[in-house]
Amino acid sequence: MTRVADYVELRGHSWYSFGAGASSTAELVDRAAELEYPALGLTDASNLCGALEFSRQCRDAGVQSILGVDLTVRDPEGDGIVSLIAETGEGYANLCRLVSLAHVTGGRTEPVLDARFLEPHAGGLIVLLGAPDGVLARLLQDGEWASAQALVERYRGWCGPGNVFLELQQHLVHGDTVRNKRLRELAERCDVATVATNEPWYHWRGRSRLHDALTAIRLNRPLSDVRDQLKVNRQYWLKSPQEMAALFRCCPDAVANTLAIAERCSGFSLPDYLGGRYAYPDCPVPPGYDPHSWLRRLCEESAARRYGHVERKVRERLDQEFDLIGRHGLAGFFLVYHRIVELARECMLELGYGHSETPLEWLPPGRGRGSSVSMLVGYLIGLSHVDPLEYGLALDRFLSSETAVVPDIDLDFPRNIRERLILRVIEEWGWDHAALAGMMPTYKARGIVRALGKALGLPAEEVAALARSLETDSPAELSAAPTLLARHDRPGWRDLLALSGQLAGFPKGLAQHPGGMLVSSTPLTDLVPIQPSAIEGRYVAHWDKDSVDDAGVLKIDLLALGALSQMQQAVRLVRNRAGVEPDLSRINYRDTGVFEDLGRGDTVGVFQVESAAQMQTIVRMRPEDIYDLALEVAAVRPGVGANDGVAEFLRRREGIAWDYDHPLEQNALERSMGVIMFQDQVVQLGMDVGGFTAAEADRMRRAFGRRDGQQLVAQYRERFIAGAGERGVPVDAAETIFGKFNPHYMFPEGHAVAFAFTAYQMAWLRRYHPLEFFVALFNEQPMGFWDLDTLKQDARRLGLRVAHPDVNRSELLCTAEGDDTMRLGLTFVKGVDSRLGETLLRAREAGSFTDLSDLLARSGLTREALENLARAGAMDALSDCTDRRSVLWQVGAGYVSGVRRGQLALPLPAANPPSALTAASLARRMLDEYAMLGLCPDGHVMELLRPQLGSEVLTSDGLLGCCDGDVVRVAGRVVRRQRPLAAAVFLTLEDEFGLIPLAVWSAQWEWLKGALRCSLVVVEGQVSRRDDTLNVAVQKAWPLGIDLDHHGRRDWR
Amino acid sequence: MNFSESPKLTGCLLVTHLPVKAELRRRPELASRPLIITTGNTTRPQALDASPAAVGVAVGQTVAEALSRCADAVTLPLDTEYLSGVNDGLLAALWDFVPAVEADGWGVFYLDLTGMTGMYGGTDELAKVLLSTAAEWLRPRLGVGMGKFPAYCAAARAEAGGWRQVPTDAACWLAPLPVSWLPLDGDAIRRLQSFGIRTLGDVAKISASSLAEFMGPDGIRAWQLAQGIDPEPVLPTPLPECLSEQLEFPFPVDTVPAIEAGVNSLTERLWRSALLRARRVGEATLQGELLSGGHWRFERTLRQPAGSADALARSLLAGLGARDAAGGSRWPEAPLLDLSLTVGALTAETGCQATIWQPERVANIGDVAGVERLAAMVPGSAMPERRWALDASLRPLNLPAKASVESVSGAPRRVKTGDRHWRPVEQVVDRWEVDTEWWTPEPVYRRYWRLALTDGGLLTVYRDLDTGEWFRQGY
Repeated sequence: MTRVADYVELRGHSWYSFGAGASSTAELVDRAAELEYPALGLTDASNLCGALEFSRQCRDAGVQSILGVDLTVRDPEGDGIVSLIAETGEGYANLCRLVSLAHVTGGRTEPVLDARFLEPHAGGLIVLLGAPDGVLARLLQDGEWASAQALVERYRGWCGPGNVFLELQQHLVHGDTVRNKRLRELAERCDVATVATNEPWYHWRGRSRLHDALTAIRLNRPLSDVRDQLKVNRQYWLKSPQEMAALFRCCPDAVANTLAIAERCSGFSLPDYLGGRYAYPDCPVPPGYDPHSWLRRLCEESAARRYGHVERKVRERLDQEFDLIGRHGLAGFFLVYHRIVELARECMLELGYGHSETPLEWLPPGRGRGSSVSMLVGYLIGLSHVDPLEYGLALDRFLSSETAVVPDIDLDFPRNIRERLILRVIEEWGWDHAALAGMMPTYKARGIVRALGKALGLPAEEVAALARSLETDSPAELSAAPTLLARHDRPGWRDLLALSGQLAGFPKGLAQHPGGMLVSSTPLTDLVPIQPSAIEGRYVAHWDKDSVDDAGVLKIDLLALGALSQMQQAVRLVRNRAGVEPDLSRINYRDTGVFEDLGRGDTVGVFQVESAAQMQTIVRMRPEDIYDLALEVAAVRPGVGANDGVAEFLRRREGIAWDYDHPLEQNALERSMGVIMFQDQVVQLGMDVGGFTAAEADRMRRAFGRRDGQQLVAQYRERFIAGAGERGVPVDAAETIFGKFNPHYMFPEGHAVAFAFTAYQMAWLRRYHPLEFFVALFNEQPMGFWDLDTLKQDARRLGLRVAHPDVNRSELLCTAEGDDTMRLGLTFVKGVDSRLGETLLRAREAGSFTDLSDLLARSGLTREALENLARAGAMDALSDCTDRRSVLWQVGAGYVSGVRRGQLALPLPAANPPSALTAASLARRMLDEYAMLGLCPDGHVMELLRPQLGSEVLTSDGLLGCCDGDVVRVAGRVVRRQRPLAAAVFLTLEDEFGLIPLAVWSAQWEWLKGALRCSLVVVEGQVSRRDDTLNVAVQKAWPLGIDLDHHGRRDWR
Repeated sequence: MNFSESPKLTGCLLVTHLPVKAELRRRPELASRPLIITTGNTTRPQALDASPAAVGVAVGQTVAEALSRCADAVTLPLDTEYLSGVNDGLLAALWDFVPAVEADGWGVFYLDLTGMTGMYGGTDELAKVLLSTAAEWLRPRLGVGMGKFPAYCAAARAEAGGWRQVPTDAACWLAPLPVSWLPLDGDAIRRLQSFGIRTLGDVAKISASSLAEFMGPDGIRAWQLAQGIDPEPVLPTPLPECLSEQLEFPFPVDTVPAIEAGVNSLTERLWRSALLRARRVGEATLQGELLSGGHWRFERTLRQPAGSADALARSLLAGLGARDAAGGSRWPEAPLLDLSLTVGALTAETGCQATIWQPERVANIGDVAGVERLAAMVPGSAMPERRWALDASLRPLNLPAKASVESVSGAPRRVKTGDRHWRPVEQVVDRWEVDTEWWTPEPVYRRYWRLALTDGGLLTVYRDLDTGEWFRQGY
């Protein structure tokens, strides 16, 4: 493309200048293309998070990308911004190293680079000095010419004479003209050139307010408090070359130098630089082996242990996989994973789990998930617990002969092993070779309201109420939210409404990926900056998963799975109580009792099948084996539900007649009755119908999930339909088939099978060891779907007793007492953290607390903690603590008189409560327990409220006798609200007898949501009974009030 | 329980929402609109009081918060001096009738009424007299009881303009009142409420020793107050040491002689007051309402306290005639509708120091900037007039003044400021833009020009790009 511009903006800032940049990289690039810029520079603040994305977008737009960074540099004269631009690959590597050094040595949140680091890392860099926030500008403003000259000469000495430019900016800010004049004079004295920039923070003027708001959000203060940090005007947009030329009419050389710098940088392209530079980490092999032969030997030895006799089909599959491994040079890749699993096993043994004599593949410390489960090699070297041969898992989605991208292997671990493992991996390879991938959490509706509300100084409680009132976190909801629209003409709210649309989707900052680790034999700091994470010992790269993909770097996902932690703990509790540790890998996987539980929807707390939606489908699906369970696990996913896939699958499974949209679908969809349930099936359809290769089909599947993938999807659609045509598929059938693909998430088949195993094991534990199951489930919270009170209700339904915490009997976490009692732990009480809990336990080592005075004198707890324990019922068992309100009074009095501090040596009784003090009502006690514990251990709020309801209000038990179409009233606590990709809102009510599923159609929701957002409600609706499921379609709803002081005073027990 | 001092008959004169009532009194045109009184010219002004029409506004909210709830509300910064004048007026009026008066914040006055009912022929008559000390527009309430707290509760339960007396069985009468009326901190109140203790009656039922054990001294005080016992005596608040006089001009006045005459008249009137007999004045403030809207104000702290009307008038007029720190005039910028003079820092004759300086010389020294304390407002502000102020009253420095500018293609060609003639521009030295404060009710969008004039002067002017008006500003 021919360009007419005579100016290039070198210092663009995107939304990756977190809390300041007010345009995305795409917006900057698009605007630059509109303005016919031949090149555009990006110098985000202290990071290169957007570098790869920006380079790709520039390439697509035909604009040359120039990469740089704004760093705060510490010179002897002070701290200030210096802009560094990469002229070459060497310069880019130096940029990465310098940014890493600034974070590692200068500060994680406010990185500062010691200027002395520049000298050894200046190769290939162009330095811009003189911006208003820089030291040089301050020196010139103060008239310190000698220091200014010395500074420039110092940089020139480090970077070379032609590589230092003095930067002129004209934003029509008071002082710009004088500063530019002095910079020009200094440039002459030092014999360096000047260059013009506009340092844009947004691509068009209309984003200036967002820039201000972002600044306030970053500083966590209202705009009025940060006036001195805001730009004084709105001149910081990406100006046209003509506008810039006009502003710098008096110094055309400074404008011309922008082109000269762009020309110098034109030889460097980040995607080209990264291509082939990455290498898998080294994994030593014994003498006489290469990685390939060593991996093969490991697998064969393991196969012999696994299968006893290595059958032909095993050998053939291994041959097939090793052929692919050899073709792609992945032996080292698998050995790295093998090494990681070995490290994880070391962590597991250190934590006291497992035995060192047990072979790795028999008791792997973690479990594979994702499509990698389909690799037999993975099963044999301990990456997965699923035998792919037994379940007929295909390889193509994970690895094919044309695979171009690095395969993706995700591993799940119990939380404690995973925490240790991440540090161990960094130790093993060093922080410059192993780091966590980055992640950019983005602004969503509620976060937008909260952040902008605070920045604009709006009433905090009104802002919080508005955020709570939003039904989803989708930014799209904001612009139509009635609660916000109702305020559109009020000062402040008007701005919030206007800015919210702009802020939607902005990255908030760099966070660490939940577990994705980058490991490389070439230093990662040559490829991407690394910075310390908020968690000590961890390091994070400036790439998110998309950039990691684009860079072709190995990302190992080491994920924490609460269910595995729960399982690990439950197994140990069983061993403690029964003396024998169940081996979950050898339990009966066809236990009809377990499948009956699952088929009844008796699945509260069971991994993957506990949600209300899953309970509804599993009672229709009635799984009978692991593969059925895998289908169930996979069914309730947005990607399956998006095309009504779940309902269609259930109908077909129940016997409805169906057919493929084209016979070519059969190979891919036969096992799921013509419905797309797994990612692999999308790939297979791409191959079978669209004629793609396996790798192409997988790229098509990935395109749907990309944040900016719409254009790519459109291209794939054209190719798919053309390819299908060549295979004799009519256009309308091809369009129908392509229309089933969607951007929403669904599981790979192997992943579903892997999760089905875990789900089955949890269901087995729940059936045969319910006490340990629930103790571990409570202790591993937060886990998943239900809150503690619902879990407690379910435990009670299974015959367990949930006991109050007790200052003399509770440990920090929940414990099993006898055969059927779960004692709540001390740290389950609000305000009692593990430090306070340990304080109490240490005091108890000297003997149980005899009474309240003894507790006050010895516990060493704060008043708030003691009061909370009293409210939670943790002192009920003390001899003189029958009434909690009296106990609270005595705790308060103890603090005033100093009893707690042990100042009274005599065992005097605590202060007597006044006789006029009325005992707390039952309702007050219960609400105190809900407030302190999040549950009421031995009751349910509906038991209390039931007497005030008429007989027409049915219980969940009573509802079971109703017929389809009956109009009923039910009441309960709202324990769950969900709005999936459907036209209804699903709620779950809980009463003292069980759960009641509700469905509210969108039209009703609009006028009932006020009532249905209350925690206790009465609803009227029509019973819907279909295929063994029961729902109440809500027509009316009322909040259910509770009178705190006038409910019965009967003892709760 | 023994108390060292038995409670005395005490009155409480209560004027609720005094800041709002006072503002509405002098700005009756606002009566139909929601009104919020704010803490004034601080970085984050907060609501201090609000009229009933300002629905949703609560004391302590920031102005942004308050306006977001009540968009139509008019916000006015607290005019401390004006409100003090109203409050002090009430205090002074009460002092005329009662032997001891304690002022406890805006609009709350405790009165020692011991022995006074006999003097006025009964409580009813006394109450009428006391209520009459406050103007009707203040709608005062009076409470009478044995101690300050019972009297306050009685006043708070009285009708506006009426009075109420706590009966002999005070504890019984107080029993239904909420514990939140107790003068304890919020945490103590919340703790009581958490035990189901919601009324003063609930407090009274508990033994004093239990409450003392539970809450320490606060518990004893709470118990006493709930019993209707408040042993704290009325602590007399002295009358303020300032006097004020005001005059209204028959027509708007903007000439120096007319204002001089007004100043002379006011000083003479003040010296007729017995309070100034044998005393000297250390501070004086002139202020008046401008025909163009707003107020003009001139404050002066006298190095040498003035002992006569003439001395004060001379000092004030000398100060007015001098230029301010930025070189501007101190005379009113528009015709005045009225003029008031308030004097304070009253000293006895002995407060006067001997000096070698002539009085005129002292007046000139007082004009030099720096005599007053420089206070930071928003030092980093893009607008010079919002950066610094003089004195605790926060009079901004570098206030822009209107200017006449002729421009070509937006650039000034000649300029006229004050009453001077047109001054041609020789060169534009610099230009810059300020475009900010968009989230406030008063966004700023200005284009500045630094001009070299043909007469050798340098001048900074700006154009308000919203209104198109030109101003001159010290930068």
